[in-house]
Parts: sequence; C-alpha cells; structure tokens
Amino acid sequence: MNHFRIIFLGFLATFASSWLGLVLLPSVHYGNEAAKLPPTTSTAESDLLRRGEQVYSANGCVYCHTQQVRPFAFGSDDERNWGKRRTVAADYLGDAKALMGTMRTGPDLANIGVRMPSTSWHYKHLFEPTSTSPGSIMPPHRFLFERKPVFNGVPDADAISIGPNGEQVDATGHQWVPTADGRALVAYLISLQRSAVDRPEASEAPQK
Amino acid sequence: MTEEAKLRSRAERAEIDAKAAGPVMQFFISALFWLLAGSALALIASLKLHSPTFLAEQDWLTFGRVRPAHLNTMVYGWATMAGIGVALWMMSRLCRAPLRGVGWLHVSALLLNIGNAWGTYGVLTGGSTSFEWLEYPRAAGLFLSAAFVPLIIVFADMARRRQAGHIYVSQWYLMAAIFWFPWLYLTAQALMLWQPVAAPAQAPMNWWYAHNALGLWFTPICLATAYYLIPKILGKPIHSYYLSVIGFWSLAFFYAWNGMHHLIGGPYPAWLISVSIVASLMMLIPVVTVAVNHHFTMRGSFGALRTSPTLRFVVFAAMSYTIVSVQGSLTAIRAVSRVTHFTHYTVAHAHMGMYAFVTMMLFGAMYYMMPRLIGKEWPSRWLIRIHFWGCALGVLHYWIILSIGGIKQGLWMLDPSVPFLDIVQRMLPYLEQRSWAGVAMTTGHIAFAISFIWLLMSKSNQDTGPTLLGKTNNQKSIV
Repeated sequence: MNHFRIIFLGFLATFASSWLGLVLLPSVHYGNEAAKLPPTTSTAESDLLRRGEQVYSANGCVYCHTQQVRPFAFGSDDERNWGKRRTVAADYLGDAKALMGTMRTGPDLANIGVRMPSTSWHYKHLFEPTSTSPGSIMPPHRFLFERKPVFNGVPDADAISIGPNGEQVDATGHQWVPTADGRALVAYLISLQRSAVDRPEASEAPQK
Repeated sequence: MTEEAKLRSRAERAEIDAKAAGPVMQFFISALFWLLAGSALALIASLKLHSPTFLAEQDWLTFGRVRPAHLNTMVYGWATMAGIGVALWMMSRLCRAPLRGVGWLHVSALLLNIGNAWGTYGVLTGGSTSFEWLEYPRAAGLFLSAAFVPLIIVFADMARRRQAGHIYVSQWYLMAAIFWFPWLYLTAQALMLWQPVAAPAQAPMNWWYAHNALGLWFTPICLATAYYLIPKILGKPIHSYYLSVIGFWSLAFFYAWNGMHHLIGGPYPAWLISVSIVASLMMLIPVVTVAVNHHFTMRGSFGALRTSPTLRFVVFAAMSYTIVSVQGSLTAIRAVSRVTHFTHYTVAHAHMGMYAFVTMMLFGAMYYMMPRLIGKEWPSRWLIRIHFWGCALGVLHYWIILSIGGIKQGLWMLDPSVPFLDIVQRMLPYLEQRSWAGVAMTTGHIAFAISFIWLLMSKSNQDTGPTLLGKTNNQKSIV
C-alpha cells in the first residue's frame, strides 16, 4: 500500500468505530436517562455535597477507594457489608463526575454513609486514620482541620477528640475544628448511600 | 550501492539530521526534565504508601495529589515529549524530507512545557479532575491541545513531500498516532471537562481515552521505533512485510475497543464490557505478529545485544511489549479480573506498559539519535550500563513483586474471612519493595541525565567511533 489517502481512510474508520460505540453511544444514552430525572434546585445542602464531591476529587480519594459495589456473584462485597445490592449506572446519574475508581487500597465507599453515619467518626478518621482504623495506611488529612484557641474552656461543637479519653482540648488550650472543606467532605461521605434505593436492574439471580 | 550513491545518501541523511536537531533536542531536553520531576514525585508517592505520615502535613504533598502529578508528568511531560522528538526525526528520515516549520515546532514544545507546568501546579494545589490520565485542570489541557496543531501540520507536510516509493510500516504507525491522539485528547477534554456528559458516561469515556492514549499514541510511536531501529542497526530488512500489515490493521481495529475492560464488574450493561473483553483477546493477533516479525528479524543477531546500547534498550522494550500485551489480554478475562481488578497487579501491569515498553523504547531511540543529531558520541559506557541495568532490573522487580502482591491482595479480598485492615498490613512488604524498585529506576534516570548533560557539554569526539558496551569485530556498523 503506497497511497496515504487510502491508508488514512483506514485510520479514520477503525478509530471512528470505537468512538461511536464507546463514547457517543454511552453519552447519548446516559444523557437521555439523566434528562428524565426530576429537576433539582440548588439548596444549601446540595451545594455542600457538591463541594464535598469537589474536595473528594481534588485530594484524589479515588486512587485508593472505589465507589462501586460489584455483583455479589463476582466478589465478596456482600459479605464485607459494602452494600445491600450491586450498583448500577442509574446510581450515578445525579453526580457531577464519575468517581467510581479502579483501586481498593482502602475499602469501597459506595455506601460509606450507611456503614459509618457518624460525623465525629469521620472527622476523627480523617484527622488521624489509625485512631479509628488500627493499621490503616491512609494519610492523615490534617489540612482539612484548623487549630484554634478555646475560649472560656468550652470547645466548639464540632471540635474533634484528640486525647486518649476523648479530650477535645490539648495542653496549650487549643482545639482542632474541621475547615469548610473538611465539613463538606464529611457531609458528602455520609451522603454516599448508593444502594439505598431498590432498582430492578440491580437484581441478581439467587446464588444458592 | 555505488560509492557515489552511498556518499549522496550519507549527505542526505546528514542534512535531514541537521534540520531536525534543533526542535528534536528541545523536545528531548524538556522530556528529560519531566522524567526527573516525575521520578521524584513517584518516589514520594511510593514512600507514602508504606509510611503514611511522611510529608503528610501539607495538602499539596498528600498522596492523592502527588500520585496523579507523577502520572501526568510522566505521560505528557516525559513520554509525550520524548515520543514526539523521536517521531519527528524518524518521519523526516523515512520520508527523506528535511523538516520544515522548525519555528512552529519550538512553539509546540513550549506549549507542551507550559501545559505540563501549569497542569502539575494545578494538580498539586487542588485542581485535579480525578479522571485518571486526565487530571490536569482544564487550562493546562488547552495548552496541550494547542501544541498539536503545528505537529499535525508538520507531519502532514512531511508525508506530502515524501520521496516517491514504498511507504514503510513505521510511517503508517507515526501518521496514525499523530492523527489519533489529538482526536482522543480533544474528545476527552471536551466531553469530560469543557461540557461534561452525564456522570455514568464519563467512566467509559475515561477508559476509552486512557487505554487508547497508551494503545493508539505511545504504542504506535514505539512500534514504529522498533520497526525502524532493529533492521537499521542489524543492517538487514524486516522479516515479513505482510506480517507488519496484519499487525498494524489488527492493532488499529482492536486496540481502540479495549478500554472497558477497566470496568469489569462495574455498574454497566454486560455488552459494553463484553465487547472490550473480546477486543482485548483479539489483541493477541497484532501482538503475536509483531513479536514473530521482530524475533525473526533478530534471529542470528542476538549477539549484537552485547555491544549496542540502542539495541539493548529496544529489544528489552519490544520483548516487554509482547509480555505486557499477552498479560493484558489474559487479565481482561472475567475470571482473572475478578481477582486482579482493584489491586496493585494493575499498577504493575501499567508500569510494564508505560515503562518497560514505552520508556525503554524511547531511551533506546535517544541513544541512537543524539550522536547523529549533535555529532558527538556518548561520553561513558559505564553510565549507559548503570542506566540500562538500573531501569531494567528496577522495572522487572517492580512488575514481579507487585504482580505477586496484587494477586494475593485480590485473593484475600475475595475471602471475607480476612478482615480488610489485615490485607492492608499484609501488603506492606510488597509496597516497600516497590519503593526499592523505584530507587533503582531513578538511579538509572540520574545516570542517563548525567550522560545526557555531559554529552551536550563535551567537545566533539566523533573520530573516536561510537560508544559500545563491548568489543565487536564490526564496530562501525553497530551503534
């Protein structure tokens, strides 16, 4: 073959086929599905969750945590209590970006809000992961907290426990409270309850 | 060939090399900088996985930012810029058309450098998109996209001015790569960052992009390099023209459909995943044809590996291509993926592709090209040896240790009687070994950087003959 023009048509045809199948088709299909969702209005809460999603993606949580529950026949997600059913595409329709992840250095988070509904647990865990999860290799996220002096001996309502007996104030009279980013991230994590709604397309044939 | 024709052909090559030298060296020097930056980021990220409190105070050095910064500087800084340098020179040689538009190529390199610097800064300061392989924030993507405009024009210009006759398989690969990659990159930028589509459609697009960035951008450039340099160094033609045709078109058709195997077990309809599993298995066709073709070209000449630095890197890379591709096809099978998906096995596999294949191939090409571009020979065979063995042993250790660790990690995760935090602890020895492998590769990179800078600074030493790694009877012909 010595004609670039003919070869070039080959480049175009092979590539365009995958572009149509893997890019255009899913975009149109899921775009139509998303359009069927009831319109949402922006509220203080939805803004907070959006910001939390942003903090999640800016700090790369996705490199160690997935947000997808595998089919029960395809792993131990069920036994590990990671969700009461597999996740399906419709569970992600309301998201701004796909953060399904491909790595489980840490556990799946698709339903972390069901498993760990406590705000204070998440703050403690983000501040010092090994304090709640011994042996964890998650990096501490101190930068999501600020160190502030305590006035009148009463710490802020969301000051985290830093001492061995749950003390919120250290020896120099300082406390650690979550920043706005920290609060948004924890609100987002607690909102992750992707298997909460039943969906017919997520049902699997009984295994036993 | 008569003596006169030989002289004319040598003069023609010298003119082509002289025209290419300026822009190609600008791409290479930039690539070297990003290679070192990417290595430093890699080591930090790797250390953090077994020493999580290391550099944990500042947000810009947290694992989730350093890791994507490493990947993107390596992909768009190192491999893309080195790959473009190699592709420009090879295309010019194969078309026998001296480069035109040199000024625009300098602009292109500048845009890539700005894009990479901006992108890395953006990722480290909290602007990462968290789309794998596309973490650079939007503005950086604009610079990277713009850099390809002059490149497409320069490549099309060379193709148009090529001297009549046979189009060699390397030219197909290069023209395809320069056509496919901008389309890939613009699609991903437009539909994921500029005007994002619905979230469930983003993950398939993400993996269509990321898999094809390797398969339809780096792979064609590196296969073109192997097809060009192996016969060139050995002084004999490629084994089979027909195999190279089959290899090219089966790659073009099947590779583009591979990406969804990253979503096996994910929240998608079965057909979408299955089509990629089938395409991944079909990749055995191009891989085996290329491997057979290169093997039969090399047959009887493996002794040259003892002496030629270029050939050593290129053949190591070509063999890695076969291994990583066969491994990729097998991993796409559901029963295998059930174990290996979500584990460090995938990380090992990715480094076999982007490093043992792509990076080593680019090193090999640079060893061949630079003496020709700047008329000086490599200053030290010891530095070349440290470079080769540091990188080769480092990446093999990396691949073996994380593959074994990853399979174990996968099996433990499938067994609900093993608590999750136990798995985290059991993985620590493998993660520590990964850091040692990283130290070995980085040592190789530093040796290469010293060699590179020494070569640039040294006085002309052309009359000493090429720098070889051992004694040969036919010194002039093998570099």
